[in-house]
Parts: sequence; structure tokens; C-alpha cells
Amino acid sequence: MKRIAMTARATSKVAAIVLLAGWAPLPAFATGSADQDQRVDGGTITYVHQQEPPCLWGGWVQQAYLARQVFDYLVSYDNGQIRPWLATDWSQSSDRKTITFHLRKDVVFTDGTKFDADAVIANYPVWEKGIGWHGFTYMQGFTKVDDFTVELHLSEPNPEIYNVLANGHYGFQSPTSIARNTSEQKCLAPVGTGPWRVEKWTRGAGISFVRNDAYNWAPPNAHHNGRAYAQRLEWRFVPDATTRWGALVSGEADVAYQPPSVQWKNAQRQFQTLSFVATGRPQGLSFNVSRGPFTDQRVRQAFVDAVDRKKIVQAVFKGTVPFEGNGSLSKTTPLYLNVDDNYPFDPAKANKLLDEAGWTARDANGYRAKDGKTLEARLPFNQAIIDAEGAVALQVIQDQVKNVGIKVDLIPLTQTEGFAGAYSKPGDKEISFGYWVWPSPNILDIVYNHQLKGQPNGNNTTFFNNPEIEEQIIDAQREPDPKSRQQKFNTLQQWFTDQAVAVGVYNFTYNVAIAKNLKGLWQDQGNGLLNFYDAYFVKE
Amino acid sequence: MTASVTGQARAASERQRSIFKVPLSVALSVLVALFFVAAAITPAALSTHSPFDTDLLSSLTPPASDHLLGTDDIGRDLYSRIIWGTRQSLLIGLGAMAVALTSATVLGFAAALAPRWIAEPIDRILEILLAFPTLLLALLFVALLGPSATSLLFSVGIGTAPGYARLIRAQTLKVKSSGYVEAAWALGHPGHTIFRQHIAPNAFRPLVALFALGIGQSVVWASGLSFLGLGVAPPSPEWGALLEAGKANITVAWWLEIFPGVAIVFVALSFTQIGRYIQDRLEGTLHQ
Repeated sequence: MKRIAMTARATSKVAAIVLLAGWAPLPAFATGSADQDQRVDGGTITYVHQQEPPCLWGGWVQQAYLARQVFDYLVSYDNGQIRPWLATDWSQSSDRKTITFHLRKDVVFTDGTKFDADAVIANYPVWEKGIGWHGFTYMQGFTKVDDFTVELHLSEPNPEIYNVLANGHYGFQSPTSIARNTSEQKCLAPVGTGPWRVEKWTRGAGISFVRNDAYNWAPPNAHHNGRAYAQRLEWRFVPDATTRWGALVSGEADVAYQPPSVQWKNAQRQFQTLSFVATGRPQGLSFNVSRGPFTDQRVRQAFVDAVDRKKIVQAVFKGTVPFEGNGSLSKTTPLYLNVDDNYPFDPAKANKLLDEAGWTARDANGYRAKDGKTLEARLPFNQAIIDAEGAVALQVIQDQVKNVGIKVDLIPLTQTEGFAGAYSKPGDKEISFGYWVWPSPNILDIVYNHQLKGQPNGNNTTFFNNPEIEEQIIDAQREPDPKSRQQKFNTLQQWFTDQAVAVGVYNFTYNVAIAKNLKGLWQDQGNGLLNFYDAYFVKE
Repeated sequence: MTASVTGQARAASERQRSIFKVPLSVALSVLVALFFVAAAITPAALSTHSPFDTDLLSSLTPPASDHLLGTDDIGRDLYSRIIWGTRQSLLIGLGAMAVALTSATVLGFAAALAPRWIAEPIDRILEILLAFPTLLLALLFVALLGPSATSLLFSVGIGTAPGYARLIRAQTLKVKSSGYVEAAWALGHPGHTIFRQHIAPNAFRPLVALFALGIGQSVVWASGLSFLGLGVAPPSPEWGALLEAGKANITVAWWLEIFPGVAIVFVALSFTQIGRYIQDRLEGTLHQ
């Protein structure tokens, strides 16, 4: 009963947010309390996913999806509420810079090591080293108060810290494994306290998980406690959407990630579906404001005016993914500001702005030019982040801006190239395209702060550098009063939209199709990751 | 004079009969090949739309009079994309064969004619490379060079070169030990003259047919690599890329897979047929 009440509240909250934006998702759980009677204990769930990350855990959301199966977290994120998990309760100091967590005493890692204050402390350097944007959490480290009490120290008050800790990135590994296992072992088969443990990772094929039979510390938003219902979880990597769909249809897989949009209606008819509009930053255009033609605000605005973003999203994704006008926050992120009506498709205005900006000459191919230089933009995109349909949307954008005389060079990058830093410097590109899943508005700090620990911030794809605005972001982030906080974040989102530093195109949406005999699967409301712990098969 | 005229007329008549002796399949293959060659040279003359212009209101339109082969998911005219894609697909096929034959010629002659300390290592390397399937070698080079039209061309070319190199080596060795070459040596002709006048022309002869056969094969390999996402970047209308882009919509827009596939099959078959015909003619065993 408690579970049902929670899920209903969850659904209504998300629905409220997205209905305001004119887009209705499906509930983010595959229900079936009546099916509990038909539940089959054990079995193997086969899930086909697109991206294969280099390690099971790290700073990429794809790693959080995997890590969440193996690790547990201090707190859990339950539709805007922070609830206990490995920490039973917590309190914060008056300056909001120290948080004291009291830990559960019955938690054990799958290698037999006990979870305690020492385990928490041992994990901090691992986070610091393994999560690229860790510096933006303002964490300074943990200190031990007693065996089951720790204090977390912050350099800045950060109301988002609980969302951060609940996120799939900040899980706990066994201190024994951290001390003794090789880097490769810790990368491919880290030892956690979670409901599953890694049995084997076959590169290029998939990961075999087996359930942790001792598991008895599920978060309060889980549907049950105790070990997972299924015996095994086979997580297969299948980059091609059509093949994933084929695997589901043929019965080879039980759950398929991101079916082709053209099949979504079939998926809803023939299977169960889950859909989650990711929090954080949407798939959007980030203009290089440090050098090149997009340092001129008029050129940026002209580019956006020349693109019929709403129609592109509808045509390419066929209703499976919502349009997003805001380039800084997505629809489901707390304190989101809807700017969907800014920059309606207006090629005439785009042409006028470009004329005003001095791009009046034409080159031999009909593109605009100034001082003998063509108005050209390189747009590299990582194919592990922009899937085939996203690449099609980019091709339409390329064609539409051509009509106002802007040349766009699409440069597809492999996952390896993208993460190795290809086309990541200010001189390498004029436009970036990509998303960032993050459950709080402090994503602005991550993507617009020009520095991280004194070095250029690699997450700042606009190469934005404005100390005044950066200070406003920190100020909004610190603000304890909810009303003022909303106001401050609204101002910032509107500013970034008006300046056209970054504009949204569509929300990164985690869609899955599920076989009818698999019930209980649900998506975390922080980043949409699938929770296989509660999933079970029913008799057909 | 009369006898001479009669002789000329007979010769002309024999030539005419010989033309009519060309099998129908070869004649059709030539026509198909000519069509695609024309499309590669002047795509604008044969296409009906721009291959890149999107029209979101006409997405996934089935074949009809305004879009002969239908449209893709963002309303681009498929017929025009196939026509414009011909240039890239054929250029990759031709270029790959040029790369393959050039490198194969150098390696093949070196393996057959160079001193043993040069020939032996080349021979061993060719044997090692031959142990790998052609497509696997091509994949390796794409991985090294990165996906692009140029790297496709070189990857397929280098991937197929070892087979041709072995053939040239074998042919050269055969010609080298033939009676007329030995006679030329006995007459005191210098080595470069023997190579130019006897060895090279006779070793090259089978390659003329292989070149035509290889174009079709290279187009198929290059399209295969593009289909795997290892070829030309979007929005290029290269045929393998068209197949790759269309597969997500195959259940609702069959034309996106069928027509680019037919184009690849037609090119591969026509060039293969022409190559075989030339091969048969050269061997003097033309099948009626």
C-alpha cells in the first residue's frame, strides 16, 4: 500500500511538470501488484542497452546506470524528496558546511567486508579521482566520528548535496577491494553492497550480474526488501536500435533500451513501456562564445531563429521525445524555467540579424561570408551520446541553416574519440551538441563555470567565461530560501536563453520497452536508471 | 582492288556479327554500368531534387510521381540521393581498385623479380596478410585511419591488394620462365627491355579483367563498411550509408532499404559480368 501511494505521488509530480510543458510521459514503473501472485522466483532478465562504458562506475550517466545495480548510496532520491538508505538519518551544522550522517550497522559488501565509517572514508579519494566534475559538489571529504557516524565537509553550502549523493555516481565500493584489487578489477567488477554483483564482463558483448543473496537494505522507494527477485541479470550491449528492438520482438531480450521511434507505438501496443525525461541539461546547441563567429550574439540568435526546432523534434522522434527550448535545464529538473516559446522559427529574422552582423557577402557555394571568410561552423558529435535519430535531427538543422547561408560541418565521433578529447578545445569547434543528466539545477555550475580546480573546465562546452554570471550561479546555488532560489535560477535560465549561449532542442529521454511477462521494473527519478532489483517474471 | 573491297566487307561483317555475339547479359550490364557512370559524372542532370534538401512535411513518402523512389525520414528524395551517391560509391570502388592494383603491382613484381633477400620477406608478408579475410583487413585500416570516404577507399584497396599481389607474382614467375623470355635473354636484350616488352604486358593481361571484377566487389565492401557506420559521414548519400540510415524505418518504409540495395546489386553484377566477359575473351574461351 505504501509503495502504491509513493508511486502515485511520483507519477503525479513528474506528470505535473511535463504536462505544464505540453508533453505527457508514461508512468515510470511497470506495475503489477496483482501480478505478485503470479510471481516466479528466479530467472534471468536480459536487457539490451546501447552504450558500453569503459568502466562500470564513473562520471558518465551510462556508468551510473550500471553502478546503481552494484552499489548502494548514503541517501535515496524519491521524486524530489531525499530519503534514507545507507545513512539512517543526518543533520547539518548551522553554517550548512558540515553534514553528519549516521550509518546502518547491518550492511555488508559482497566480499564480506563490513560497511562502516571507514568504508565511507576509503571511498572519498576514489570519487575524487574517478568522477571528473566532482569538484563542483564542493565536497572536501569525510571525517570519522565513530564506527557508524561520519561528517561530510563542504567548502560551500550546497542544498543540492543530497541529490548528488543519491545519484548513481556516488556509490560505495568495498575498502578491501579498493586496497587490494587491481585497477582493472575495480573498473570491470567493483565490489559493492548492492542487490547484484558482477560475475563477468565480456567486452563488446555484455555484463553478467548475479543477485546478492544477502541483500537486505533496499532504499525506502524500492518495492520490496530482501534479495532481488530474479536470479541473474544479463546486460547486453547492442548499439543498434533496430537490433535491440528485434531482440525484444524475437524474445531474445526482456527489456530493450531506446527502441526506434518509429516502433514506439508498436512497443506500447505489444509490450509495456517506461519513459523518463532525464533531469539536468537537455540535448541542445552550445555555441562557442570564446572565438569564431558565435562570439557575436546576433549570429547565435540568427542560427536559432533559422531552425524549426519543434517541427524537427516532432518529425524525427515522432512524439517519443519532447521538444525543449531551454538549453540549460530540462523539463524535469527542479527550478526549471519553460522558454519553449522563445526563438520561434523565423528565417527572415535570421537573415536580418546576419546582415546586421556584417555577414552580407556570399561565397562560391552561396554561404554567407565576411572579410573573405565563410560563415562556417564545425559541429562534432559523439555517437555514444547522440544516437542515430539525434544525428538525423542534426542533419535537418544543417539543412535549415544552409537556407540562411550558414555552413555546418557535422563531424561524427566514436565513443573512444569523444572521450579521448577529440574536438574539445576552443579552436576545434564552433558548436557542441549534447546532454548532461543531473538531478538538480546546479548543473549550471558544472557546464558554465570556466574553471575546475584552477584548470579549464572540460564540461564547459560553450567556453563561457563570465565571472559575474558564474558568481550569480554560485549565489543561486547557495540560496536557502526556496522562493528566492527559484527567482535566481529563473533569471539565470532566461539570461542564457536570451544570450543564446546554449539553446535546447530535445530532452534526453530514457525510453524502454519491456516484455509483458516481466513486472515491477521501475526508473529512478533522479536520472531514469532502471532498477532491476524489483523486477520479476510472472507465469504466462 | 575488288578482292580487297570484298575482304574489307567480310571483315566488317564479321566484326558486326561479333558484336551481335555479345551475350544479352553482358549488353545489359554495359547499359547498367553506363547509366551509373553517367550518374556519377553528371548527377545533376539525372536527379529530380537536391539530395540534401529536407522536407519534414514529406517524410517517409512512398514511391510516387513526385518522388520516384519515395523519401526518407526527413523528406529527402531517395532517387536523387541514390543518383548523387553513385559518384561516391563508384569513386570508392574505382579508387580502391587503383590503390589495390598499384600496391599489388609493386609488391607482386618485387616478390617475383627482386633479389631473394627482398623477395622472401615480401612473400612472407603477403602470405600473412592473405591469412586474414579481406573485410577484416579493411576493418583494421578503417580503425586506424578513421571513418571517411578516403579511408574507405584506402582500406578496401589495401585489404584486397595481397590477393592481387600474389596473382601478379605467380603470373610474373610464369612469364619469366617462358621460352620467349629465355630467348630474349639469349639474344642479349637488356633486363629492362625484357621487362617492358615481355614480362609486364603478359603479367598485366589478367588484371584487366580483374580490375572490372574488383570494382563491383569494392563497391560492395565499401557499402558494407558504411552500413556498419565505418564509412562516409552523414548526410552523405553513399549507398551503404543510405542502407544504414534506412534500416530503423524498414517496417514502415521498405523503399529505404530496397532501392539502395538494388543499386549496389546492379553495379556489382554489371561490373562483374563485364569483367568475366573480358576475362573469357582474353582467355579465348568466350561462351556463347
